[in-house]
Amino acid sequence: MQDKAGKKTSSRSSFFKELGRSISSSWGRFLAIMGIAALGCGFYAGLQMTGMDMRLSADSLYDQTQLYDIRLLSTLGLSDEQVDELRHRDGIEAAMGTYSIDVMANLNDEQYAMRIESLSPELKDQSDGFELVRASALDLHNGEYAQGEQTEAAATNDGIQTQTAATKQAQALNYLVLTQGRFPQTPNECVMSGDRIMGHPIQLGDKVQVLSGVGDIDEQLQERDFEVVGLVSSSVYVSSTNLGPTSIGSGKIEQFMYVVPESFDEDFPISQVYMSVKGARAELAESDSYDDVVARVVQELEADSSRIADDRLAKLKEEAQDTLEEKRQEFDTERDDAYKKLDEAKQELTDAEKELADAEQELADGQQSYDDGVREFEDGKAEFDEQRGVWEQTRSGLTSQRQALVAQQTELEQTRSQLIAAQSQLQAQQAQAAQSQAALAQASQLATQAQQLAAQLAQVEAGLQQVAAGIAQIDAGISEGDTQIVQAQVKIAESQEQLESARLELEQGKRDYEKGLKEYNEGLETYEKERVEAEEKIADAQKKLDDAQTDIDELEAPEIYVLDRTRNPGAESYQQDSERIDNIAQVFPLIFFLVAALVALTTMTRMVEDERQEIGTYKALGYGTARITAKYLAYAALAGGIGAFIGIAILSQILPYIISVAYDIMYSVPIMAFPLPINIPIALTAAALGVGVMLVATWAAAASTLRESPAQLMLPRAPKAGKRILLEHIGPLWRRTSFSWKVSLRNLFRYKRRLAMTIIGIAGCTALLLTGLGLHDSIWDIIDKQFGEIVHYDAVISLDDDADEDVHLRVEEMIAEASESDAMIRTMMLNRQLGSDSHAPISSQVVVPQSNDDMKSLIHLRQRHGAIPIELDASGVVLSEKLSSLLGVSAGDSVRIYEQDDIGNAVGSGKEVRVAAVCENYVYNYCYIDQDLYRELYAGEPIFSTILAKIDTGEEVRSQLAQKLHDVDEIDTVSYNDEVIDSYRKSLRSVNMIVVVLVVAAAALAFIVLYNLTNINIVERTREIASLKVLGFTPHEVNAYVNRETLLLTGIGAAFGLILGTIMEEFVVISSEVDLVMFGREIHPPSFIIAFVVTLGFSLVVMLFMRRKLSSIDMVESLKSVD
Amino acid sequence: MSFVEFHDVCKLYQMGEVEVRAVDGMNFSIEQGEFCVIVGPSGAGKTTVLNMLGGMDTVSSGDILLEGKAISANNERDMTMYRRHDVGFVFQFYNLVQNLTALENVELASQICDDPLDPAEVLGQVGLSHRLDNFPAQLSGGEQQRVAIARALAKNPKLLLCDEPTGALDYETGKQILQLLQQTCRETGKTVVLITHNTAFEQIADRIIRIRGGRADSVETNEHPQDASVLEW
Repeated sequence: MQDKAGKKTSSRSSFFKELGRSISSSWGRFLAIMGIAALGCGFYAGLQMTGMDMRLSADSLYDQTQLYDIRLLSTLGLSDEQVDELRHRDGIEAAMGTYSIDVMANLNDEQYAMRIESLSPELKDQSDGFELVRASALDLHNGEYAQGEQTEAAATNDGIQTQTAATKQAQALNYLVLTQGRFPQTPNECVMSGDRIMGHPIQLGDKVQVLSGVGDIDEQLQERDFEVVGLVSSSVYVSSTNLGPTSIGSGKIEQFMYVVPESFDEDFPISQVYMSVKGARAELAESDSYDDVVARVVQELEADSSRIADDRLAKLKEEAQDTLEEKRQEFDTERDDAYKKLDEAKQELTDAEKELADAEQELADGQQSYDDGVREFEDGKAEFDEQRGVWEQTRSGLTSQRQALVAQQTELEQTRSQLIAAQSQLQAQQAQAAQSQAALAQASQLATQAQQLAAQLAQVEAGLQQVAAGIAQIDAGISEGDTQIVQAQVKIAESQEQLESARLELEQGKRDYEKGLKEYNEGLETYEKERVEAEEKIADAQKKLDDAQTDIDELEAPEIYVLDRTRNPGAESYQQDSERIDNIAQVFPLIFFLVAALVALTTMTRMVEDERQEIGTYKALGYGTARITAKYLAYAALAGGIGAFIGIAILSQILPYIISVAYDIMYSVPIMAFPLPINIPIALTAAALGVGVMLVATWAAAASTLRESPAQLMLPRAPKAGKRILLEHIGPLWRRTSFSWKVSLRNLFRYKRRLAMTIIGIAGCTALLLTGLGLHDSIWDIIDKQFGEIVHYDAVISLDDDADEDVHLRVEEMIAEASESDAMIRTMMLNRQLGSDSHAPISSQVVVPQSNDDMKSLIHLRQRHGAIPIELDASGVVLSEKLSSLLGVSAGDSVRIYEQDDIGNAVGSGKEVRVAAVCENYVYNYCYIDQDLYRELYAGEPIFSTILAKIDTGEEVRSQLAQKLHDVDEIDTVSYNDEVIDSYRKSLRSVNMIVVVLVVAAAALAFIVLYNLTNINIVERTREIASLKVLGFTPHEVNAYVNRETLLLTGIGAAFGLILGTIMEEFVVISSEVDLVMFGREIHPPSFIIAFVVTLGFSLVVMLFMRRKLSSIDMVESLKSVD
Repeated sequence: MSFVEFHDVCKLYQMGEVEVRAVDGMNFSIEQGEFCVIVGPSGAGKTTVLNMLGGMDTVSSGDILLEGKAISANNERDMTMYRRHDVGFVFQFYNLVQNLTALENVELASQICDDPLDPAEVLGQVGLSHRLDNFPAQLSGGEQQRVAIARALAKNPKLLLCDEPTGALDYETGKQILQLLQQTCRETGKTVVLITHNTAFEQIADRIIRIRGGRADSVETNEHPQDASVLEW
């Protein structure tokens, strides 16, 4: 036993010793196998793991930022209760409602379609919680996902507070990663994307001005101006080129910003609910098991979505009904008030009317009495006048009586005076007579006379008295008459005055009446008017109420969209890109494995041949075939295994890293830190495939030799006989071929394995080069052809649909001033979706030019093959190439044009239209429609509100123009293609990296294969080479003799490689193309030349290496004996 | 002045620590047109002598003169030119290019020379006019050696060097080859140097150089060399 064991050990140790010597005596061979194994396995594993690593990286980002699994969107918003309900659904881990709207906004003089979203409103009243959200930002700068919640929780000792905060926190999803600045605190602050590659970079402090949106912005937002206070990275938008669809602007979201919930209007409802699914986080994002977990919840939600919609509808109806009822009551009250007021006014008017009637009566009465008065007065006056006439007569009679009396008086007085005088005389005579008694007689006479005289006097006196009485009587009469007259006169004057004042009063009364009447009439009119108005208003209000009621009654349930991550453009396109790499990973390593197998086969065949005699000896000594084969298998396994290990270890780090770096330009998914995880199943598969292939090749190489008998093996194998090749039968050609070429040609066909290995290897090398270069061509063609050959406008200016002709002309004038070529055209641009029988609708831009001819100078519609121009006419639409190929339609088929909603769904049943032609196009999907066809299709006039213009006067002029255009209110957006081109350039730069990877791989492949080939060639033909040297061939001639073969094979291989490369490039292009972009379909001629020449270059480098080996061949040693 | 002269030629090989003197002060000369046989036991240094004479190896010291010209002073390139124009080699194992026909093997040599003989004619001379288009594998050993001789002759060299040309051949065939070489020497006047360990060949030589221990033990001329056809060994 012991003995046996000892023997075994020694036999085993001799086995290993021998193996060790085999290796150390042939490092070149060992390294060649190792190298090709490393390359094959490494490439396979590296590429396979790239997709995996990308997904892992995304998964880690999504998990750490708590990216939602499901987004539930309602076209009519959702209530807080519904958010709560969703939160407590089975399978839902957390739910977060946010406010969100899409707007056009101005930022740095550029306009963007922007999505404004609120940070978690769950925390809106919780200032500490809110802080937590801010703090929970993942710190990318430090390369760590520092979750604020934990640090915060650890920092605060207030358990309860932290717990509530944490509970709230637990409902927050879609954490933002703050890369710069801080989070918004006030309604007029915001954070924006720091990852954008479109347009100018955003700086802290930049101002965003919201211009327009869907509906009344002021009812949706509290603020219209925001200041950028921070830059963030959001896992909701990992793709910086594809943020998702929207119904505004160009149809694509170009920017996003987050604001505090207070930035939204109080009454604005929650737009969407983000949810995470229990158990989903544990699964790898987007893996099948993840999809299973989420799909279940999605299905339930979808099944429930009509109920959610109904609930929302019911709630909205209820709210609306409540509001309506309130309004209705308000209306009723107001109507009643109005009617009451009207009635009062009416009453007042009636009163006034009555008053007026009274006044009128009074006036009439007044008039009447006045008229009576006047008549009376007239009568009185007439009487008076009559009386006065009578009086005048009377008076004049009286006066004449008086005069007569006065005359009588005067006479009487004269008489009296005479009498007095006579009396006096008498008295004097008496007196004298008294003195003269004598005269007594005379006295008596005198006395008688006196007596007579006295009598006479008395008589006169009496007469006088009578007259005086008469006069007095007359005077009294006159006076009385006069008095009476005067009195009558006064009376008349008085009554006249009275009449006058009565008249004035009457007139005043009349005027008052008129005024009153007028007022009344006016009042009446006003009343009528007001009444009509009021009634109209009431009717209006009533109608509004009725309408509102109808609206409420007719209110339709909202659309509820349950969107999983496949509907998140960033996550989905990242996922697809990673799967594209998987596709490529399936194909590329094939070449390496094939070459690895051939390298192993040729190398091991050579090794077995080298050790032919040794094998014979072993066989003769009684070793079994298996034991002998084992050595070679062990050798191959060791070389392959070590190579596979090294290759996998290195390339599974480098390849994913390089490709991730390339994708990093387009995605904000962070690159994983070294060391990247090594996926054991993939690594083992790769190694097993690589080593397996080698073992099979080795076994095949050993088997044929081992079949020979030991005796045969002991003899040197007869040199492989020379053979005539087909070419020799072409006499003239063959005769002109030099010997060296003859040998080379014959050699090529003598060693078929080597021929296959070399041709396939070199073909692989050239193919890789061509793929790399072709990819480069294809991708840069996107820009060069799209913006160099097809699209010739560089500015897109869109105006409001209702902008009038003047504005158009003004804008066009502005453009013409700035542009040298003043080529421009008005078009109608619409965001639509196009679908076909075989394919679901795809977002596309519908372009209706105002003039098909004018468009030619700005958009070259042509077929790609042969660049044949396409005429746009009413016979059908012209589709861009990628669109038509996606839809699976060609000229003559028909497509349907659908409207597109906010989240990128086709709406309605669409319009069917014939496809007239397919035009070359690389970026985005277009559908060109002739305006007549449009009219026919939509039964309406197209509105040409988008101006495409060529502004070829440099950036400065353009930005000035942009400034000027922004001042025109009717302009919605101004965008320049160079921004688009720029962003494409940036995103395509990543391709160069891939090209480098391919070139390096190609070089490695070429070196291994060519080194191996040349090495075997030289080793195998040492004698031949030595003979040539002896014959006097110069080193140069010897090199040429050997290298001619290599060169020839390289040439043939490279030629095959060009074919293979063309196929491979097409495969890569097709499998890496995204929906919106068509890569160039042609590999440029220089690329073919470069690929070919570089391959020859590689082979020349190998030849240079081999020079030394050739010159070191010792003639003497080589010719001594048969090897 | 002889046609070929060796003056104190030494050849040292460094085998690790040990210095091996393969040729140690070799002196001899060969006249033009002679059929010279160099004999010696294995390890005597005869192949080294031939290699140095054929320009395949350099001397460590001493001079080798051909027609008074010191070929031992040649540089790499001159040496190649020397091999190309002045020397024809015949090996024990023929060293034909397997992938070329008999004619092509001869042409391979003649194409690089200034004044070659017609390959087909030469092959005719060695009796192979009927096998011009055969590949080496289709020829017998003797035929292959004839092709090798024809290839050496076609260059029209001054010197024909043969290293055990019969070593891999059977007796009869070997004899025919010796005959051919002797005949060639006689008819074309070429100087033929043949090395062998077989002393029997001394009989057909004009000059016999015996080598032992890296030195020329004796140099003899044979006034009446035997005809190769009657040689027996």
